[in-house]
Amino acid sequence: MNMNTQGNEFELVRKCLALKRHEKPPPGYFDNFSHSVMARINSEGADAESHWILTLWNGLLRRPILAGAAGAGLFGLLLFCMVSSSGNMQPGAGAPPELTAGLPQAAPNDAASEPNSLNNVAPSLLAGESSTNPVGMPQPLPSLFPPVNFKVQPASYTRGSN
Amino acid sequence: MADPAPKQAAAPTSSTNDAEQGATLKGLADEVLVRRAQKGDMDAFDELVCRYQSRIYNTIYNMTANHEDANDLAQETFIKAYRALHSFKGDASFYTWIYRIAINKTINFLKLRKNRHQMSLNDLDANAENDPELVALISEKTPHRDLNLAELQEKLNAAMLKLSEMHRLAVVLHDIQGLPHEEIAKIMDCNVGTVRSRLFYARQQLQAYLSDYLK
Repeated sequence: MNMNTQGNEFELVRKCLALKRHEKPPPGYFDNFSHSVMARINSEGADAESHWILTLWNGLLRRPILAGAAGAGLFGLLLFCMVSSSGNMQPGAGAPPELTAGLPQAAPNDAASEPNSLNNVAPSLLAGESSTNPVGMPQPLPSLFPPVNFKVQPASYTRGSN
Repeated sequence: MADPAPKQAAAPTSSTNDAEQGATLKGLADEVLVRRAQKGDMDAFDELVCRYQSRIYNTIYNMTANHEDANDLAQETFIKAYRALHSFKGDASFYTWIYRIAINKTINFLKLRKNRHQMSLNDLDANAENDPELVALISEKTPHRDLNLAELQEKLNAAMLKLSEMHRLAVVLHDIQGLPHEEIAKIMDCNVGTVRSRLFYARQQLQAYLSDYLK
């Protein structure tokens, strides 16, 4: 086979290969192709996240000590959050001064000036915590209204004055 | 010759802004789209997929002669490219880089599948029957065999599958995809002489396999 014949035969092969360029996928195939690729990328991202959680969970199941430590840590964190949040619930605590400016100050602890208030209770009772009164008497909360002092005078009747 | 760069319509979008953004992305160079995709812009990567899906699919299809396998491998190629996008430094063009991914995936797949070839051929388009070269080829070279295009397609694909992966790849990239020798050398990571040598040997083999039909 000389070079010319060979070249001619290769030309036939190349013409034959041209048929491959006419092979087409089903109609509309490329319209949805990129959607399929992007959907698979997104779903594999979600799978990777769930895989991470699953791996952690399986690891904890295999190592009870580690699981206990993680549980204790979580409990401690929860406790810390509860304590810190209850501290923030004290009236006026942590609040900016401009919000508490309008509130009346607590009445001074002067038992002589206010005979009817709780302040004239014996300090030993207020401070005395016992088994029947474990928390003692609560401190009076600051009142929004000034205390009202009634001036009461005893009535007197005189018989036979008419 | 190679198919022109596919400029297919973007996916249907829900708003005018999305459509405008899609139109804007179509005008951008690969390098810009790659940089955007590296920063997490999924629309930019979607545009890259649209741009190369046809050529990547066709290359894989011509290597495997199976539509379903080509579909899976083409999708996996783009998924792998997305995952490895952060490592793309731009030393080669995105085009060469994604071709390499596709070809590595395909060759690994074919090695695993070994000789268990099962063809699932795509239909020929309407232009094939009107292609004067193909019509002449059948009428002149096989006048007594009553060989139609579908039969020739099957014989040709069977002959292609008899070639080694590297020889088939050279034929696919040059004679079907129309890439120049230099580009094929970059994709196959070899020198131009090796590409020419593989092409020569592959054509010789094909000629031998198809000799009964092309006398």
